[in-house]
Amino acid sequence: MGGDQPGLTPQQARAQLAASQRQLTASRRDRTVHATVTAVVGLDCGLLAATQNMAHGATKVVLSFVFFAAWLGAAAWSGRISRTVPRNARRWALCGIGASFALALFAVLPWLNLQAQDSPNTWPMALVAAVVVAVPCLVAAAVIAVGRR
Amino acid sequence: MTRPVSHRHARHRLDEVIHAPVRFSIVAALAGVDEAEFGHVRDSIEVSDSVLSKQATQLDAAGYVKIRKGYVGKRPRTWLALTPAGRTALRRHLEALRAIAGEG
Repeated sequence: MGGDQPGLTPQQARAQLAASQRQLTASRRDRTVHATVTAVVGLDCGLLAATQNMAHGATKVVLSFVFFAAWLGAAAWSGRISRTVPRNARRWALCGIGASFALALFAVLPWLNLQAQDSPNTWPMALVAAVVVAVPCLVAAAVIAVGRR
Repeated sequence: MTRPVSHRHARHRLDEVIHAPVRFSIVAALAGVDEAEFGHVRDSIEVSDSVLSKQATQLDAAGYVKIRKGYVGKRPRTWLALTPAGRTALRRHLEALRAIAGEG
């Protein structure tokens, strides 16, 4: 520092400040890609949780595999076609996925299991459960899709 | 006697790593995203592969940029991201620039 410190005139400083405005911004397509992946993960979690008491045996295994494959496929697809990760998109996605997991593990699955003790879960119940679990991810996806105004 | 940092001329607060034009362009460009693909940054700031690679490596060594290498299928792909230290350094550098610009 000190003597070697770069000197700048006010005009040069203004020019650099103007140049600093040329930031990369995530394209609408990149925002859509990352939002779609977040939404797919949320819907996957919801459907997986909701079908735990509805499907049995091989069907349950196949459904779990399909949901897991959809999750991996969406993640691979986003890595392949996106050129930027929008600002704060990862943070929003992690918050949404974490909240969906927590809802599934600590609220929806215990509720479905409790209900199943009296009578079998119905498809409307499973649908409501899936939507509830998916909501945090869908909200995160919407935030990512809208992006910075 | 040495003046307190807060009373020194704003040029002393300029970050020497970021001050170089290409490195400044890289850091400023990355400030708008979490991560960007190498080719996208190169096209955005209009430099060659080798120039971006060299300057990004220097920013990486300074701890301002994280370079992540991976594959998409069989094709290698490199991603650049500004670290928290890089964002702080850019913010301080811009504050110093604003202070200098305000003198004119």
